[in-house]
Amino acid sequence: MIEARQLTKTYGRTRAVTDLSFAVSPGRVTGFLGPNGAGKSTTMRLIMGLDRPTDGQVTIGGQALRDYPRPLRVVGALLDPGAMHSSRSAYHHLLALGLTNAIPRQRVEEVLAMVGLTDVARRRVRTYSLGMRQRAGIAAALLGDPEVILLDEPVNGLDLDGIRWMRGLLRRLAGEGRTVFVSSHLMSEMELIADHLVVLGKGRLLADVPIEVMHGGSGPRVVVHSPHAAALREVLARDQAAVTMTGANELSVVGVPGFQIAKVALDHGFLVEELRTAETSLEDAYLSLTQGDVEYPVGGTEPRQREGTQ
Amino acid sequence: MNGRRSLPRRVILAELVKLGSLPSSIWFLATTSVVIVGFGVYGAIGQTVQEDMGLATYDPLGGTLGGISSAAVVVGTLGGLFVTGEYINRMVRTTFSAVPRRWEVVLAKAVAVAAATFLVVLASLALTLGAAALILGNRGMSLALGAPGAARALVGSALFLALVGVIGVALGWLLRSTAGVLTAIVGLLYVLPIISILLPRSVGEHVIPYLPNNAGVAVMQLESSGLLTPWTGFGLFAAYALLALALAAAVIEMRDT
Repeated sequence: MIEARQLTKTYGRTRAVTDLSFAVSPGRVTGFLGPNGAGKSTTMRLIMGLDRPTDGQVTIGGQALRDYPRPLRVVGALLDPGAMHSSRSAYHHLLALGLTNAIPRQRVEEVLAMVGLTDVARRRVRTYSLGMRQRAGIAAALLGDPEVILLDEPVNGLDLDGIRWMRGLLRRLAGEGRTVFVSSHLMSEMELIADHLVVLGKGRLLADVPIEVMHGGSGPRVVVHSPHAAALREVLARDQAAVTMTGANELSVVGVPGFQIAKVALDHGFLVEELRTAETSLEDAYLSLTQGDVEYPVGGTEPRQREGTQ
Repeated sequence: MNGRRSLPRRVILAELVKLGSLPSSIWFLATTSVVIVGFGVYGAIGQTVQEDMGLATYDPLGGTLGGISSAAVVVGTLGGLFVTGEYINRMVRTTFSAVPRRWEVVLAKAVAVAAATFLVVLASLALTLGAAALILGNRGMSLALGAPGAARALVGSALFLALVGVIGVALGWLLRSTAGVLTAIVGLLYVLPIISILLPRSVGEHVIPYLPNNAGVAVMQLESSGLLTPWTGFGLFAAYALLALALAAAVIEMRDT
């Protein structure tokens, strides 16, 4: 279980993550989705205690990672592909890593076999392909047999076989009851592996929903135009709906059918100017959610100012 | 889920494995050895030449410590590189994920470098003394390891270089740049003592003995010179090294990776 509470991180004048609260539960794969620069990697570093939050806090199993005597047994992370010295062998990398957490040598051999690197384990990491480095990084993440697994863009640079292997591994780990938190900027990838989604845009939480909701499984996406959009959003959010402000007077609602939105609006005396159901694919849902949150939009010449930096 | 507290001992062991599994550190240690043996043998030959010319000043160690000063830059760079190497592939994130109390890593790296350096220097000096005994023996000269201060100078030189390694590690954390560490080491150990000679005598005598390098090499002096007494000088140098390491630990605890 990972819990982030009002997590905020500022680097100089840049706000990487703003007031982020979410929980990642065990027994399922939680996708961490957002465009490049949305703050996913920052959040992962905050979870791992590598960067200090400017505000708020994050705990793993109810405790800060720093308070665990053997953190590798609590959480395993793959943050940078091959975050290991390129002149050292994967075997020695894992051996040294294991020593710090009293993990026996035999477990090193075990994880190497698990990721299929036994034969090359004593070769220098610099001779590895990107896919092999990624596997070595996974081996390091699994070394302590942790309850919580954090992977930052794990399929980046993998070939098709590698991607399939990764999907299978993530499913299996979640099936074993572990907490699996995987970031990606590709909705299509998440569609295949995630049970639950945490969506980030410009460092803010956009959605924290089961994938069926994103899918429109519990209702299609409904676009609402209303001068009372903000107030309507408040009310709808109480109904477990994923509601996003997509414009000054525009809401995007997933999880509540149109007629019910109309009824809620009527009950509260909100004027609805337009109410339209949009059948969307998951990809569309994601795109509409993160629209306007892309830090460097394609075709733009100037990077947009991030929110809240002024 | 909580086991026994992971001890810094385990972290030290891990850092020793890391040090030993890097070709670069093996090369640096080998270079250290070559410098010590090479300059030491050269020193011993120099003694015989001076003897022939009637110029020899008595050195019970036969000039075998001649390589220590030069080896310092190699050892300092080794210490620095052992740390900066962690930043090249963001290896340091993996390291700190496993050991979130980062000061333990700072300490462990220093201990690993110091221990490896100490052993390599002692072994190299043993080799040098053996060679020097042969060279001097040919001319009817001999080493006098039992002479006052000789054993202290030998062990002290290994301790001095071990601490130079510690300073290299500290600088590595602080500067995160191998070139920066090299520059700082050269400046600290070689340039600073030279510049200090330019100080007016009245000021110089209060400054020069306390400079890091001058304090550190005091432990190797066989007759009293303008330096501090051997162990006072060494103590001061050790204090400099530990101060640098403490500063590094404090900075690393605060810094984002």
